[in-house]
Amino acid sequence: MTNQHEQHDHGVVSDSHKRSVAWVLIFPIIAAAATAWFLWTDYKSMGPEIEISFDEVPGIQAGKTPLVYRGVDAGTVSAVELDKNLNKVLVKVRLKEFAAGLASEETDFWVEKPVITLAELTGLESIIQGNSIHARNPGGESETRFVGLTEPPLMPLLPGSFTVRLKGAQIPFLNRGTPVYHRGVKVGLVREKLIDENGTPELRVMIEQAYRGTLRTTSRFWRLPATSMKFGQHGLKLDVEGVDALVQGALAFDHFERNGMEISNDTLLELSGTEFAARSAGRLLTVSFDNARGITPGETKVCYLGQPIGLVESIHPSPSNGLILAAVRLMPEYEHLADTASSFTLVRPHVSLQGVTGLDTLVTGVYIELAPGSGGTHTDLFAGRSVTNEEWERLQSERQGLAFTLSAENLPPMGKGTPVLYKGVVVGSILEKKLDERDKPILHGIIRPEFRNALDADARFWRVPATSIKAGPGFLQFDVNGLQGLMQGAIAFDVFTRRTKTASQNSSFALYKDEVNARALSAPITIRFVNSRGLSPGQTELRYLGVPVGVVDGVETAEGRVVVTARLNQGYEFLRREDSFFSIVRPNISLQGITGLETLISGVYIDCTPGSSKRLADSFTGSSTIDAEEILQSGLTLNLRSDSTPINAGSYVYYRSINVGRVTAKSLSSDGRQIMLTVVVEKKYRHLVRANSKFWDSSGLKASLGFLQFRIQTESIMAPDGRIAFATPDNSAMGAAAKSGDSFELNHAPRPEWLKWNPSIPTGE
Amino acid sequence: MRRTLCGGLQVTDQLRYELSKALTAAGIILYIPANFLPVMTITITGQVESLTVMGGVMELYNTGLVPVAAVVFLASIVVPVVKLVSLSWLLGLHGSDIAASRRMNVHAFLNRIGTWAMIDLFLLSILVAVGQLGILASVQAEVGALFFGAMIICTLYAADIYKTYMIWQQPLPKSQ
Repeated sequence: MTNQHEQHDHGVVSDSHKRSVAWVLIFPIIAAAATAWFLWTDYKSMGPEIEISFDEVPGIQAGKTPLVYRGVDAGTVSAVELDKNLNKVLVKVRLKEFAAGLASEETDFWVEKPVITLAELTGLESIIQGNSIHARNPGGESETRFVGLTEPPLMPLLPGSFTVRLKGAQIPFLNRGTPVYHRGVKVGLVREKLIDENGTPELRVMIEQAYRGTLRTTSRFWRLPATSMKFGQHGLKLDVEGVDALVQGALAFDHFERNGMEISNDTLLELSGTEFAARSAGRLLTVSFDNARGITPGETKVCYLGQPIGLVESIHPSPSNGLILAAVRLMPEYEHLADTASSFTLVRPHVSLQGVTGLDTLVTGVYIELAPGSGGTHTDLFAGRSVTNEEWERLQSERQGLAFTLSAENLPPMGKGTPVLYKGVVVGSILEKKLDERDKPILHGIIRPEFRNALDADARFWRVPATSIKAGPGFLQFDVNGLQGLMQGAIAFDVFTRRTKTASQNSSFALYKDEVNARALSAPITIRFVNSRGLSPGQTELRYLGVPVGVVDGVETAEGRVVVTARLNQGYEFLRREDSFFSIVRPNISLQGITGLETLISGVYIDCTPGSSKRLADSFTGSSTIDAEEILQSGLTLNLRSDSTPINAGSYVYYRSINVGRVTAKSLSSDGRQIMLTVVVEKKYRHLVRANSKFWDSSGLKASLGFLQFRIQTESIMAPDGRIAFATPDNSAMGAAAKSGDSFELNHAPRPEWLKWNPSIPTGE
Repeated sequence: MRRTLCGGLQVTDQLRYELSKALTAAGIILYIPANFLPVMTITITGQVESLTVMGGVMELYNTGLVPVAAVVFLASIVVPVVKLVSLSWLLGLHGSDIAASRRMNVHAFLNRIGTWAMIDLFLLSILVAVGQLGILASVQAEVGALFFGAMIICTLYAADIYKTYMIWQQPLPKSQ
C-alpha cells in the first residue's frame, strides 16, 4: 500500500497507519502468553506421582481426595485402581512440587477415617471433610511405590516417647488410643493391645517423653471406669472421668510407695482393676474361712475400724482341710497391723429391719474386719471367722446384759431387734419372740449392761407405736419414733412408783398396750352406764378437769346396764369417793351448737367429778349426756308441702330468727305432685307450732321495695341450703298445738301480717 | 471520520478493523483455557469439585435446575461461540459486499447479546461471595474464570469497536 492512493472518506490505508496499528497484535499475544504461562506453571507445580497400595480405601476419590502432610494439602489423588489380582487398591497421588520429598522410602501413608473413639480426636475432621490420605515421617531414598498402613499410627510427630508393658488378669474395653492419666494429666495412650505367648492380655502403653519421670518401678496402673457410681452413706455419687474417657474408659497410674526407681523402656508393670486394688499392693496374706459366702475377689474389702485398708484378691478352696483361703493384700502402710495377734472377721449384712448396723453391708457387701492385736509376730497365714453384725452384738449383750421376759395378750408385729427404750434412750432390745407353755406370746429381751440399773422390779412396759397421732382441740401431735420406730415401733418402760430394787436377771413383766394403760396402777373401779356407745376398752380415758387420769379396762353388760371397768392412775384415788360422779362425754351436736367437739377426734371419754365423801367406793353409777340424735328423736316431726323448693335436708327452721329445728328429709309426696320436707322441731320449742302456724321459705337475700320503706331480709348467708321460718297467729287464732306428723303448707314468702304476729304461746302440754 | 484518542492516537476505521480483528483473535485464544480450566472449586463437606463452565452447566442440569442450566448454557457456551464465529465471519468479509445487509443484522444482534455471557461470571461472583460456610461448604473462583472473563471482554470490545457502517465500506483497491 502506498501513500499516493486516493484517500477515501472512510478508511485510510497507508504504511504509516499499517505500522501504527500493528500494536493491536499485543492482545492476541498477551492472551496466548497468559495461557501458556498458566499451563506451564501448572505443570511445574506438579511434583512426582506416587503409587500407594491399600487394602481398602473407603471414601477416596480420584481428583478430589487430598494427600495431607502436617495438615497441609500436599497433593491430590489422581487415580484409584485395583491391582491385577483385585487384592489391593492402588492409589496414585500427584504430589505438589513442594511436597516432592514425601516420595521417600520411609514415609508412612494411611487413610484417615473418622475414628469413633473420642479418646482420640485425630479423625474428627474427616467426619466433616471426608476421608483423606495422610503422610508422616518422610525420609530415606527416593521412592514412588508405597504400601499404606492399615491403621493411623499413634506415634506422635515428635520422637522420644517410650513404652511400658502392662499385664493384668483382664483388660476389658481398652483399646488403642485409650488415654493414660497420671493424677489427672493425660500423659500417654495405649498403643497396642495384644495377647502374649502365654495367653495373657498385654497392653503396650506409650508415655510421652515429658512425663517419663512420673513412672517408677513401684507405679501401679489401674483402670478408670468410664463412669462410676458410688452408693454409700453420703448418697449416690456419679463420677464421669471426662468426656474422652466417657466412651471407653481410661488408664491411670500412680505410685503409692516412696521408693522406686526410674523406669526403663518396655518395663512390665501390673494393671489393676480399680484404684483401690492398685493401692492394696502389700504382701500377699492368706486368711482361711470355713465359709466364704459373699466374698468377691477384687471387691470384698478388708476394713480396719471401718476404713478400707485392703482387698481380697482371690479365693480358692484349700486342698488340705476344706477351708476357703482368701488371698488378701493390704495397703503397704497398714501391713504392720496384720500379725499373729490380729483377727480377721468376715462381717455379713444382716437383713432385718432392726439391723441398722448391718445396713452398710447391704450396699457394700460383706467385708472383713481386721482387729489388730498386740505383741504378735509376723505371719502371712490367718484363720478368719464369719459372723453377722447382729450375732456379734447379741453375743456381746448376752454375755453381760440383763435379760427379761415380757408377756402380753397379743403382740403387734414386733420382731427380733425391737429396741427397748427407757426415757427415750435405747437401753436394750428384744431378742426373741415366742409362745410360752400356755400359748401366750412372750418376748425375751435384754438390757445392755450399762443400763441394767434402769430396770426396776416395778417397771412397767408398754408398746410404743410406730407412729402416733394425738389430737385434741388446739393441738395435733404427730410422733414418729425415729426411723427404726417407724418400721416397727418399740417397747418402752418406766417406773411410776418409787423405785424399790433393780430387777433381777430373767424377771417377768407384763407388756401394756400403751403408756396410759401402763400408768394406770390402782385397783379397778366399776361404773354403770345406761348406754356404752363409744366406749372401748383400753382406749377410752377417764379425765378429771380434762386431764387423763385413767383408762377403761373393760366394758361388759350386766342386768341391762353396761358395767365399765376402769383403772385410775396413781395419785387420783380421791376420785373413788363414793359420791363421785362419772359421765360419758360424747360429741354433742345439738341444734344450738356442738359441745364436746374434742371427742370427735379423741373419742368418747368419761368425765370424773370427785365427791366430798370420805369413804371410797369401787362401784359407781354414771350418766351420759344427751346427744343430738336423742334431741331430734324427742322433737316434733312435721311435714311441709311445697310445689317446689330449693330447701334441702339439713336446713334449719327458725322462729323469730331463733333456730328451733331442722329439715331432716326431702322427698316427693306419694302422688308425686308435691315436695315433702320433714321438719323436726326441738322438744323445748314444740309448743310454738300450732295448727294455724304458717311456714315459709326465708332463704336468700330478699329485698322488698315498698312505697315508704325499703327492707332487705338477709337470712340465708349463714345457711346456704336455705332456711325455713314460721310464725304462729295471735292467741285467738293459733289453733291447737301441733302434733307429730301434722302437715303444713310451705309458702314461698311470708305475708306481711305474719311477720307482725306476736302471740304468747303457753308451754302447756 | 477521525477521532483523536488519548496520546494523539488517531482512531481510523482501519485501526478499528485491525483492533477488532486482534481482539477477536485474542478471544479465540482465550476461549480454550476458559473452557478447559476450572472456573470454580466447590467444596461441600470435604467433597472438592472443580467445575469448568460446561461442568457447571452439567452440575446444574444434574441438580434438576434445567431452566437455569439452559440459560447458563446459552449465555456461557452458545453466546461466546456464536460471537466468536460471527465476529470472524464479519471481519473476514470486511470490505466485500457479500451479504452486507445480513452482516449488519448479525452485528446488531451481536451487540445486543454481547453482555449475556457475563451472566456466568455474575453467577460465580455471587456464589463465591455467599458460599462461604467454613468447613461445611465453600466456593472458590479458579483461573478459568479469569480467562473466561477476559475472553468475554475481548469479544465485547471487538463487537463494539467494529462499527456497523464499516460493513458498507468499499473494498480497498488491491495494490498492484
